[in-house]
Amino acid sequence: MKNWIAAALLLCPFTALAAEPSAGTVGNEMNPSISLILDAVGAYFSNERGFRQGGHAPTRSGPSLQGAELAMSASVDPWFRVDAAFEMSHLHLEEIFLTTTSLPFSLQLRAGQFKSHAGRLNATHPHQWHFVTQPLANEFIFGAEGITLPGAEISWLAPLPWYLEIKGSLQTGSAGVFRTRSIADGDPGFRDFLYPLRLVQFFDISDDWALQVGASGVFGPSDQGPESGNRAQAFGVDLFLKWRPIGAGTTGHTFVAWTAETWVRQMEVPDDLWTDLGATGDVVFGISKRWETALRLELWRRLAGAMSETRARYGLNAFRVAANVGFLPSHFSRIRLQYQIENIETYNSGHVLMLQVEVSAGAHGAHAY
Amino acid sequence: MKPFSAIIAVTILLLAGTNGWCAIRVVSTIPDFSDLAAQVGGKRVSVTALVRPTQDPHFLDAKPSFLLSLHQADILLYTGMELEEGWLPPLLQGSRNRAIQRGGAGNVDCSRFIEPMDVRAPDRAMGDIHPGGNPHYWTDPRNGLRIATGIRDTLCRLDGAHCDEYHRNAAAFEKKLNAKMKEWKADLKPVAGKRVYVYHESWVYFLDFAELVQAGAIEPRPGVPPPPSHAASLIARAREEHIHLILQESWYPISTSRLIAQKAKVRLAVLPTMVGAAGTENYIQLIDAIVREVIK
Repeated sequence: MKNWIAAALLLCPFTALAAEPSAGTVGNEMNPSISLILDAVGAYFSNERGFRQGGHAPTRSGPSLQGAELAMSASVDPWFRVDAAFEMSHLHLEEIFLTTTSLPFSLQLRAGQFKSHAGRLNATHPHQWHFVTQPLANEFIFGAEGITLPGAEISWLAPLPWYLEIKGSLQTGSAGVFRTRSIADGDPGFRDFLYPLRLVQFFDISDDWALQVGASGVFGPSDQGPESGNRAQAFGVDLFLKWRPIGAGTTGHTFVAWTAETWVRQMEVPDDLWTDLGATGDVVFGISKRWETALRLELWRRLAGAMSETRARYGLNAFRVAANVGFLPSHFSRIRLQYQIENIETYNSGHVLMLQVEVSAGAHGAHAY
Repeated sequence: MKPFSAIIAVTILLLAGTNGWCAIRVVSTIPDFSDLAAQVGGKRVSVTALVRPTQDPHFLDAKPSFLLSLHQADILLYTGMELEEGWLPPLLQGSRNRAIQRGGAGNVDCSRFIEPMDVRAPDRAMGDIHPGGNPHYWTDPRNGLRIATGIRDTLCRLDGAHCDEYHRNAAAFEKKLNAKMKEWKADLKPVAGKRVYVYHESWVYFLDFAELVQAGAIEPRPGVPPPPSHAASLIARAREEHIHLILQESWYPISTSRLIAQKAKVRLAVLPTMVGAAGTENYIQLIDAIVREVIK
């Protein structure tokens, strides 16, 4: 056996030698990269007493600040990196977490307070969205701020010829239909935490075409009666297909990207089990370096369980269409005009017009696919 | 016991992330670095480039498939000076590969091997200016040689057992490139001192080699598309300043450059900048193609 192992190591003497640090790097590595991201919006609601989203969405006609984020990131040492996002408009720490860079067995750990991977959107910040507002399904299931909670996440990159990654986290707190019971009800056990899980695969169909498919599940105590053992769970599937020609004579700024995401949510409440379905589909067209446009359709439906005033707080039957056009003076600024028509039960249908300005100053980092 | 130990041995190989009979896996952002690594590393390296030769290296999607290549890489060669800042960092972080993280043995910022030009304070009011200097340095063959030498030293540091071989390969490449540089210099002599426009400020290093003078850029500031007023002023100036040529890469919009070329009666040259574009198969062919177009 020893001979086999020695032979394996000897075949690759290079890998055994590759631990010496490189001669040096350029750049100001001791200071965190800092960026300031501002999202401001002017909105018009045709129905002043109509439906309003929470979180970063505007809630009344007139100007409002959607977000003013101070983001920082830095390498801690050869093994850790730290990222933080402080939301200055609401004076709260959105995220601060460390990420390991070199765990064995293709593992990676995040720990701290972070946006978990549940579907494509939950882990993102508003300036990464293709629309002014987040989808209704995300808000109805994970709340206005999404699952942004303290905890730890482990992810594993499968040793396969294509990209397949599994991510799972344990988090504590309150997000949408999930809530860890109060400490007053006793020390939390494993059943008291939220468990967002995600499996995502990516297929590089060609230089111009790419497909990503994901499946997510979130399990945890229900916001309605966690101390009585009520549970909530959400299952989602998502698909992202992008065409972006990069051959000779193309700018690379023309693209079409299609996203489809569907969620089924179950929530135990005293004496009932609520089941709901949410679906979102959008298409984003990159016209040129400076112009892009997008269209989104959304649906939310009750599937089982009785309607009540309490249930209305966790979602209403809804159909919403949004269309927008964005102008990007540079890579670091965007002006976006969005029109939204919505038909949401208990509210009259309404129209919303939003003009958003978004700027990113400083060493704002890149985003994941 | 034997099958079990064989499984362990195979597992060690897999965990070490090896393939191709343990060739040193070099992943580069732009294909030019891959070609230079292949020239120096010969059969001891396998090379993969993430950027396609006709693609703007500033704006790539951080495709998760790239992450797989990086996960298995022994060496990452990148341009640096924040050229890849818009897409490489999340891939590097997701790669879970310590060897190629910043400070790691295989993390090679090729800008360390060259003398930077256009070093300016990074003020975004002046456009998308890269800290540390202009990152489009690889089209100057003198820099090609410097990068090849840097790659040689990196390979020697990581794989000392074959250092002599890397030195031999690098010396052979240097000899070829030096001979070609003499030819290119002679070919470019008739255009030396002539004034040119560029679309993006990505030609300063090549222009320095060719002894051409950049008299203006079609982008009013780096990364900012030209308004009609700027194009009009370039047309007016082109007549007065005897502009010889307009240079641009294939991924920039061509309509403004074409308009200026037509109105000012200046030749527009859409040039390859990365190995693989315009039918080129290696670095020397790439510079050959650029020089041919410039002296046409």
